[in-house]
Amino acid sequence: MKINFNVFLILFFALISVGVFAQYDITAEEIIKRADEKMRGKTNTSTMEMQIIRPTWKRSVTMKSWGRGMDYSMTYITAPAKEKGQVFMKRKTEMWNWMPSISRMIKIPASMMSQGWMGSDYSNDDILKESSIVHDYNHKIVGEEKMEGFDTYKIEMIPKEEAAVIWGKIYKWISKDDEYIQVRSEYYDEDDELIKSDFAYDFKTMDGRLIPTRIEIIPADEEGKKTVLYIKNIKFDVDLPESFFSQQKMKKIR
Amino acid sequence: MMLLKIAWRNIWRSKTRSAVVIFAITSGLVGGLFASAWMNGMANQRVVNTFSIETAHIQLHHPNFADNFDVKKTITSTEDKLEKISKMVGVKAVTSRLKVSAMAATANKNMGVVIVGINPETEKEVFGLYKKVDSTSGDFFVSKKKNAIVISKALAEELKVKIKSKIVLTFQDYNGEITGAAFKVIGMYKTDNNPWDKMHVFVRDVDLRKVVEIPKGQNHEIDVLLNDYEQASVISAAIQKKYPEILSEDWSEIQPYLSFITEYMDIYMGVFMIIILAALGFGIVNTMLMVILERTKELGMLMGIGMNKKRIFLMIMFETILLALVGAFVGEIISMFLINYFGKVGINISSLAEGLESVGYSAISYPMLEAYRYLQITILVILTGIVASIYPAIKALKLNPAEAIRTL
Amino acid sequence: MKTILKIAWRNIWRNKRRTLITIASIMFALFFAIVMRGFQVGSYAKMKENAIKSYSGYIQIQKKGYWNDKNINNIFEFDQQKILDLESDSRVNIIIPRIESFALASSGDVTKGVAVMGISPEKENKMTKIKSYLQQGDFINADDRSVLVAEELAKFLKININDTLVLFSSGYHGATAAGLFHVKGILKLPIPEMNRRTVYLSIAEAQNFFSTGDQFTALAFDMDNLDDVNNVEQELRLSIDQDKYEVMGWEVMNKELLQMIESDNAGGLIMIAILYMVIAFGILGTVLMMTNERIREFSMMISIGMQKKKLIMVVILELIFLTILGVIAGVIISLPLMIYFFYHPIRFTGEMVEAMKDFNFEPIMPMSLDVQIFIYQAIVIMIISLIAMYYPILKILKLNIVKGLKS
Repeated sequence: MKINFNVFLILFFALISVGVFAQYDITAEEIIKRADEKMRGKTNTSTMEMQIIRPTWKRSVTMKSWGRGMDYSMTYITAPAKEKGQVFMKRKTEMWNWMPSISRMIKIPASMMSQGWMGSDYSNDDILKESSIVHDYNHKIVGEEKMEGFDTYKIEMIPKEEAAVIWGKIYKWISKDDEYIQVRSEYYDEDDELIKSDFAYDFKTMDGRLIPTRIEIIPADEEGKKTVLYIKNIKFDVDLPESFFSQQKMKKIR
Repeated sequence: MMLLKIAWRNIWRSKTRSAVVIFAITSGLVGGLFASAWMNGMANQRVVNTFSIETAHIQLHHPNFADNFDVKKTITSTEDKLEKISKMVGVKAVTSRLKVSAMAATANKNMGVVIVGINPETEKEVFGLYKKVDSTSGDFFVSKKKNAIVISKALAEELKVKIKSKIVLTFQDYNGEITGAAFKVIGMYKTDNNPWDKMHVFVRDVDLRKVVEIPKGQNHEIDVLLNDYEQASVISAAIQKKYPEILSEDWSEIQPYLSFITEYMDIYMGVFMIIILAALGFGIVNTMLMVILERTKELGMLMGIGMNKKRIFLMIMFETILLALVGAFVGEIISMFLINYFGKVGINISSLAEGLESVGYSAISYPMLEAYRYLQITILVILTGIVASIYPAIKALKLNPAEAIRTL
Repeated sequence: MKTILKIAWRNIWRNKRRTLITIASIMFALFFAIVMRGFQVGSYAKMKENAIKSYSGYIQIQKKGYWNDKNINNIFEFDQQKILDLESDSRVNIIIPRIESFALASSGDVTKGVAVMGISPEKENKMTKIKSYLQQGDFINADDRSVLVAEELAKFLKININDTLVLFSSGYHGATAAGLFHVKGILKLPIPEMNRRTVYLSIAEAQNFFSTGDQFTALAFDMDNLDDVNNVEQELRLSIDQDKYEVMGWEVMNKELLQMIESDNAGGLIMIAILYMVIAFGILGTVLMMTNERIREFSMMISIGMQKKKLIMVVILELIFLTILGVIAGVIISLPLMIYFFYHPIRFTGEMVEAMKDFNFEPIMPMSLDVQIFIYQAIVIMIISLIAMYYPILKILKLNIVKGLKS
């Protein structure tokens, strides 16, 4: 009897620990998913300003944006004057650009994928592959750190064997306590050299969610080079059917 | 006949004199042959290198494929075509390839490339690129790993990768969608053509066909290797006739600059050979004149004892011909030795190597000469020698026997 | 000393035949060497000129860093007056402004990546003869808003004269570059790859398209004389702000081509060396025979009291005189031929002509009249003669007088 009870206790604790650890690992991917969902909702509509900063010049682009999940988005440029009226649309694996000044719809070709969107440090490829952070990596919590006033999980993302991603490794710091705010990211190449970092600041509550309203993307190769994204306002889970994201809509949207 | 014997004996009577003339002819011959062999070797190498790495002898494509490397512009029924073409007269080997233009990216950089999807076994029969992967740089599709890629050392440097690194290739697939796939570097090659190296990456055709979603039985290119590259235009025309729906091109159409260069070299060589032969000719004239001068007394005596002018002329001509033949014989042997030796060892002009490799020339060149050229040049040299002797021989005839005997 | 000179000089003219033969051998040797080298140098100079004028020009001014990172953000301004001042230098023909970058070209539903060249039509034509490539339509003017399209590109995009071409790209500081253009002409460019993907605009229109303002990717210099390049390059470097600009010489910009031409040159030098070998034997042969013929004469001189040493001096001086006379004669007879070929270069015939014309290369083999050619060849021939002198010297030193008198 006694032996049985001890065995039972051991088994019981063993099961719990396994459960706990197992839950920890599943959670890493979950955490990434939720952090992403936090910023997107099921759908979203927003106005943003993007500043492209270089050692010798600066440029600012303002835009209106609509998004549905990770697969659909549309962006309408509102300023500066020369760019105004351009519309960008992503549908799953395709990217389109409507240029009213020449009345042309252009499909972004593979050769332009690694170019920065509107000259920024966020590439067309980054935009197209936003869903890849969930599907193409194995996620693992490797620690906990305090960052920007938040308690965060440090999550290590290693690309899956056959994933078509250029990064050797990514670290993301996501806040705990059910907030799931992506506070910081670091992107490394296969030789463990830091290539790019994202930083989040200016946290505000918008449409019921606490989100960063200033995100800085900083490439590691040069001094004085960065892209700053300001979220002016954002609404979540608005009515945006899949049919909204169409070429016809691109031409009509204002 | 008697004259011939006399001529022969005359030659060996004055060893120095004969040696001088023989040397003149030998040097001309060796010079001419070696120079030709060297230039020929260089040009030939460039040509053969190009065949072995870039063009093969004949290439087949969809007529519009070259415009924009559109993935859908394919050759259909590839297997059947390969079989039929391999059976044609003069064809040594055939292979088929897929070609897709893409962006190759790592976290550090991205470059535009052409992905060549090959069948490793048949590829090796037509192209020699696999030889350019040295033993310390991986292998050319020996292992059966999926999504393996072989790139050039030059590209590896640009992308900052090495063996086992990952490269992401992004391209437009058969359905017009932009897709990407990850490939692992298993081998690195290096040819003498730097720009070409940076552009071309190699993967297994089955892997490429899968990610680009190209239907089976369709390929972008068929490459043909012949037994004799000079038959290329004839056989290409035959293939074109057989398959009018595709475009068949021989190497000179694919790389017109190549035949331009070869022809240019030929003309250059021609002009310079003429100059060398002319110099040789004049050299022989002078030498023979001296020889005649030296033999004034002897010739005068011969005329004095009754040898007629015609026979003297013939005797001198025979002497010259015999000397030319001996000189030619010696010259041939020396030339063959030199050309063979350097043909194996190679002549190294590596101080210029960097620039040469970037335009497709090898820094080490191997002199070589076709058999008919040996004959051609030798005959020219002998003829030059003989023609050059006519003037001195005539001069000899004008000698006054009485004066000649009196010469001190 | 004076007596030896006199003796040597008189000796030469005692036996005219022998002297003339020897001079002739040296003369012809020099003649051939000069002619061959002249063709070689002329050809290499022409090859370089062809390559330089076809695109890069002799010197370029660029924004510092442009050469290693050729993108539309690495452009620069340059004072118009300064350009005029530089052009007024007699060594400079013309200065050509350019804006070059990439774009997507599209017509109907076909799209392709192309190279966009913004040029000043008149200036560009002075150096590259670009107008000769025009196949159909008309060439653009400086104030044109139309474009010229390369032949194969036009075929691929299925466009013709008077059709519309869409160009789309990233401009200066990330501004979007997009425009519709009227196709005014079609060009056939000699290099197949360029013929498949080039579009030409007037520079003003290109600046507008890429939102660059009055800036350039390069200022290319056309010059007359290859030899002036180094000086002009140096002076230019000193006169500009080296933090902002870079001066690139044609050698750096055409590195690969230059080395290909140099390797041809190396091959050419090998040929000349082989020629020298042939020539050397000719001269040696002549000297040899001449010496042998005079054995009796030498033996006599020694037996009546002349020291061997003095005899050697006499013979050496004779040879020196002969060499000098031969060299002078060689230069004189080669001049008319050289001058003739300088003004009437050898013209190629046959298939070569077509190929060369496509590249805008003149199908000729030119002759160079560079003084250095004459000087170097003369020096080499003199050295060969000097070496040939060893034979008579040795022969005299070893002379057995008794045997010699009997010969």
